[in-house]
Amino acid sequence: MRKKNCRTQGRGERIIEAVSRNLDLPPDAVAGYAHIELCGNREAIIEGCQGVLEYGDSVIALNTGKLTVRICGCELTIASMQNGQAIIKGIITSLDYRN
Amino acid sequence: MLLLRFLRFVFGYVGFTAQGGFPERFINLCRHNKIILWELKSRNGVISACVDREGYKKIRPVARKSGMRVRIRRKYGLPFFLARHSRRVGVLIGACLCAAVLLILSTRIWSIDVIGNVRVPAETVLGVFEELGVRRGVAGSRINISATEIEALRRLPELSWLNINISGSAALIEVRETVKSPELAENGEPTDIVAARDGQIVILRPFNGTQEQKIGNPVLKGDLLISGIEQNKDLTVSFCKASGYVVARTNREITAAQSAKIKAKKAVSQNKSYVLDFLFFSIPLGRQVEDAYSEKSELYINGVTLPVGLTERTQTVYEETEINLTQSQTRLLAQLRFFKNSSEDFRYLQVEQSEITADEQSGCTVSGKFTCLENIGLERPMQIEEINQ
Repeated sequence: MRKKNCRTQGRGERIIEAVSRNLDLPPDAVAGYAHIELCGNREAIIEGCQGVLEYGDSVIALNTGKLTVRICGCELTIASMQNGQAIIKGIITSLDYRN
Repeated sequence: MLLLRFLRFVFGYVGFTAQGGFPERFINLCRHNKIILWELKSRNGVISACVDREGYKKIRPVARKSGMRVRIRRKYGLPFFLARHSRRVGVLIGACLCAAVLLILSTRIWSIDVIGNVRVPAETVLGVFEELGVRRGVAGSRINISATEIEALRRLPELSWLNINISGSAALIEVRETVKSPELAENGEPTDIVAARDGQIVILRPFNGTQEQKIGNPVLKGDLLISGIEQNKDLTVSFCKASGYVVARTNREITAAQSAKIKAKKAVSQNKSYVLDFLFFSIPLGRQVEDAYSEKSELYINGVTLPVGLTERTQTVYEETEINLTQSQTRLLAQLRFFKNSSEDFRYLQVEQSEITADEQSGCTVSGKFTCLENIGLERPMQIEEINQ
């Protein structure tokens, strides 16, 4: 039985996810999720970024539409942010998602 | 990334700091107004970032909306550099002139090297090429390589092949020398073999012609050893070029004398002057001396001769003087002269016995008596008269 806090998706989203899983389509392309690439703990490339929610040298929170991506670490820098893509450099200690 | 940095430098960008207010709102408004920020850092509530020139013009209203105070940290790039130095016209003209000179001079030949020569001096090759127009300072594109190669090869018969490689401002002349063909023995003229010196025959091997002496015979200079007249079976004679190997025991005497006083030129003083060679200019440095020995030093970098060099001209003043030699110096000089005289004669003979004495009265006289084994055969053309019957 699934936990209650994980059952936050709507029915439509679940259908889209199931279709993309069955058709082997990337979920970020179909369901509009952010595409996140991590290079070790030094660089994170986030595609689908819609804005900055929190900005500091130890925390950067980004709005990716359906989720809020929160990157924690130290000496964090936004190396570039354009065309919906943000490159964050620094020493990344954790990454968490919030609705 | 390098290209991006280069483009940013060319178009110019501004580094700024912003503080107070809401940094998140500031970043989002920048994004909304299509102001591209990079190198965005936050330290102690102060954010620093870079923005292009156009973006910085639009950043003031955005900063006002987000309650931030923006301050320029530094301006980077070519437009700002040029604006900063726009009043210094001389610098700009100098930079333009420098670029123009570099562009023009880079099309010219400044270094000419010759490789592959052994017998033919490089100066000879360079002299011919200079006559043909391949010299320092000439435009590389104006050289007709194939025609120059053909003409240079015609003027230098000691070379069998040459090639000019022009790479940037350097011309490399690669040459191959001709191989001398061995001289063919002439069989046309009939000759005799006669004795070149007095001696006693030890070995006698005629290859062609008639043997006229026997082993053990004493011969005088000019005696016939191998005749060029051969008798045929029908008792007629025919003439041929006699050849053979005649080794005789000979006596040789070599003397070398050295007086204790010699006249010699003594260097009294040396005057030096220098000439700076740059491109095709020769710039004299100070007062120049006449009748001087010149030594040119050129600048080499990575095996390429650069058109920068220094010529040192040395004029040595000599004085005629008489030197009194010590006994050992006199003996040494006499011995040296003796060995110099004997070295050429003794190259092709074997010494059986030798007796060398030194007389040190009024200088030094070194004399040697040698008994040698040597080839005394000498070709002599035959005197033939045609008798009309």
